[in-house]
Amino acid sequence: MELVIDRLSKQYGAKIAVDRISVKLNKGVYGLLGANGAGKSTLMRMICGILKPTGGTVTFDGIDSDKEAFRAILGYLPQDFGYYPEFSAKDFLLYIAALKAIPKKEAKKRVAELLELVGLSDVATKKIKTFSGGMKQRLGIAQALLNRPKLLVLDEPTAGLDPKERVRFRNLLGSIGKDCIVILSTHIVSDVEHLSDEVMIMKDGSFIFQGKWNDSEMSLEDFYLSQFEEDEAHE
Amino acid sequence: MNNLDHRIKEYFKAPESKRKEEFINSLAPSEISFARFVISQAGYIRKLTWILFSLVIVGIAAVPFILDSSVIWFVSGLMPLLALLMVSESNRSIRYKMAEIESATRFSLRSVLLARMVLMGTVNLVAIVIAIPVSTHFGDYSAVASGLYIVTPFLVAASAGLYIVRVMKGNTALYSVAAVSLFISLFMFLSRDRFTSIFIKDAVKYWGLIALLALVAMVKQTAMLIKNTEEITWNW
Amino acid sequence: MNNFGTLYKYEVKKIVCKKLFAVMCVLLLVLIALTPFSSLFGAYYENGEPVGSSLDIYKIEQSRKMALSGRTIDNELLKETVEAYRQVPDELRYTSTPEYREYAIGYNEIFSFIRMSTGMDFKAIKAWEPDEEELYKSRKETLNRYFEESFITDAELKFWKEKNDKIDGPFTYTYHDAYEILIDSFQTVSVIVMAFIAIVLSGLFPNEKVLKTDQLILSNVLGRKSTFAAKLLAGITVSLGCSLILSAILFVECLGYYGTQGFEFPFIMVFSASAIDISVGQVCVIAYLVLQAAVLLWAIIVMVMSEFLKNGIATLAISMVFIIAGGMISFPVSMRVAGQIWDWLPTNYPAIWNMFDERTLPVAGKCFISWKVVPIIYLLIGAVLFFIGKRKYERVSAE
Repeated sequence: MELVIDRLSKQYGAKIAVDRISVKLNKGVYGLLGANGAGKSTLMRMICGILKPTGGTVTFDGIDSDKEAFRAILGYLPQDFGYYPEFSAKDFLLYIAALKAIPKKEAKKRVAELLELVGLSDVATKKIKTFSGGMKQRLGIAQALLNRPKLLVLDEPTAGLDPKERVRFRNLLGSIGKDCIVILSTHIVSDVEHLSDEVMIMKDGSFIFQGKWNDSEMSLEDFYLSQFEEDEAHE
Repeated sequence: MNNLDHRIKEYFKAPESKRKEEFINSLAPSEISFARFVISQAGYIRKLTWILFSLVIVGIAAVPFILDSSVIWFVSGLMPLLALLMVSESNRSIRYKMAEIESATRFSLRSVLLARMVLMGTVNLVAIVIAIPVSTHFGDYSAVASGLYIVTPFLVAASAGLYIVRVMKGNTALYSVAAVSLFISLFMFLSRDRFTSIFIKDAVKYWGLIALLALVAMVKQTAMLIKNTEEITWNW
Repeated sequence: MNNFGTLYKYEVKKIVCKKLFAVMCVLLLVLIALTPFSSLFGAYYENGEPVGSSLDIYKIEQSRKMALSGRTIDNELLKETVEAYRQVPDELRYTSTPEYREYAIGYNEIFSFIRMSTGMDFKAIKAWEPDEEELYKSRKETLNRYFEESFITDAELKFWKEKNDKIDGPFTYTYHDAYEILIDSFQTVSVIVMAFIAIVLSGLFPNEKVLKTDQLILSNVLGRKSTFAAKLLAGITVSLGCSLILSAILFVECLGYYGTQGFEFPFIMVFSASAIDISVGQVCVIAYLVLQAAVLLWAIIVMVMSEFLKNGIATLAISMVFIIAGGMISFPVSMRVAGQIWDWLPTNYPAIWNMFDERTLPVAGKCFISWKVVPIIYLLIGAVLFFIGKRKYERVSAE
């Protein structure tokens, strides 16, 4: 199981959003840290194959990211996603399951399982428009797990979750991360510290750090914040 | 003299100001009247709205020279588009998620909404005032009947549109308003050849009744929309 | 296949489970319900004064037409018609006189036939000595002259003259109001259905971006190819379903209220500019079937346009402009090609005067009558647009 990102770039006119990123990821949880505008979401979207890169490739076990076979092993939770107001939670998951080519019978079982896992069984038949922000986020996490993905890409997954839900999410991710590649982008340094096996810190479209963080010299948070101070000093 | 002033400024630097912030804070904040605020809002109505409005006015004025008949149907078919522009402007703050910020200002969201409605209402009135004599002069109906055939589609579209933006959220609300307005426009264009029985003399009183009901509905929806601005932040 | 069925089901749900859809359906039902009866409302005026309700006067007209039903349009009936109209005063609005109601109202269709066939006006017909041979000969000549002045090709002219020559009288008059109303209502129904489709489908693709569900869809296995096909099929299903239901309601209303008699009444007595030897009943069936082909193509056009424009309101506005312009703009007869293309657009073609006119599709010296070829052309264009739209959608990127 290997995700290979090779010189991946995205350019919008003169602005380089992602600058020739190359990395090889195996099983485990990878935390992607970076300030707003660092290029995290752009990188995530290119990894998922929903945004065309300007250059470079993304492959999973040799399969290109623009192939159907790639999307078959992918689970993606976007940073800011919507829903159909007239759909219930169950409708929504069944619909996404159909998009994931999961057979109907299996989909029904899996949907029930996931609703239980994320604590939405009681409101399965209620319309999503009645959900709170945290409930919608949990529903988003559930849809990403429908096809038991080998590559799970989560863009700000804990946004909108209260502390209790965040702990629950960490436990869930902890168990999933043993069997697949999880890339988790966030602003919350403690999430990365608790969950990730490795950390990738992104700044101005490039990685400034990649690997296991060694706390002995400096905490991750201090290092992360020091990057902002460097920016202020330059200004 | 200017040269002397310039030389003096060059050689004699003014001292650094002390307690500048304190002095500025002691001054009473400048204020503008509500009327000036309303007028200033005109600059924030989108250019596209003004362009489309102008096109409608040009259409109304030009149609008698283009069509040899059916002037009234074309003009009354354009009226719901004016209603659409008005409703679209009134809904902008919510659509672009500016409502919360505007609610926290001195001239709050309520005032902004009222100002936009006043401005758009005034320009629409201008359009109606132009449309009625044009249609009466180039048509077969009395001034009262022509006036009703023009004003009623506008009022129906406006009241329906204001209701929709009040109960529906997001960009889909504007789409629904556009759909309803365009449908009313289409109905008026179609009624030239079809549904001609709704334009007989006896039916004028029913047009008056519908126009009156629609006017009441429009005023009510406007008042509720403005009242709702308080609830918007609460619902967030 | 199973998954495609599920996707299709949810795509249909996305279209129909909306308040706007329900409101539009109700409005359409009201309009369709009123359309066949729109001329029966209100008062009937004679010399500017109301003398009764339009419905009462129609009942008189209906009973008189039924009394004439089954009679051959021969010298006897022609003489009766002319005699009846001789009682009507020479006024500009002679149909608003009491004499018209008293004597002539039941003979108005026969009178129209005489006028269309001979070119004579009201006064000239009153002075005419009825002659059935002259009438039927005049019908052929008038129509042939019309074809000669119509800017059609020589092949078309020969084609229509041959068809015209084969249509011999005498005709039999039959009461056929149901079919006349269906033909009369056809264009109105078509326009309403096209507007409905534009309103309901313009946001189908752009809404995914507006609702922020596009990334979820595109990141899934079936998020491109199957989703596009499911959306299009859902849109076509809803459009065709509504169109068929509305057409069926209209047929039931007209045949139920006005009666089923007159299926076999010659179409050329209703539409004098045609040399097609078919009945009004057959015209109704053909017209409403061709409407479904136009609906299919229009639905595909609206959906594919929305995918290219990525803006529901812009798609809706452009669609409605086409629909409205179709009713207001017509090309001069001399601009044959441009006029034919314009009149054959799916928003304009469902109108009796376009479907059954003299313009054919001339291919390799043969002339194909328009209502026989246009549905096939629509299906082909629909298929091409499907593939163009599919290609565009599959390459879409969540920018």
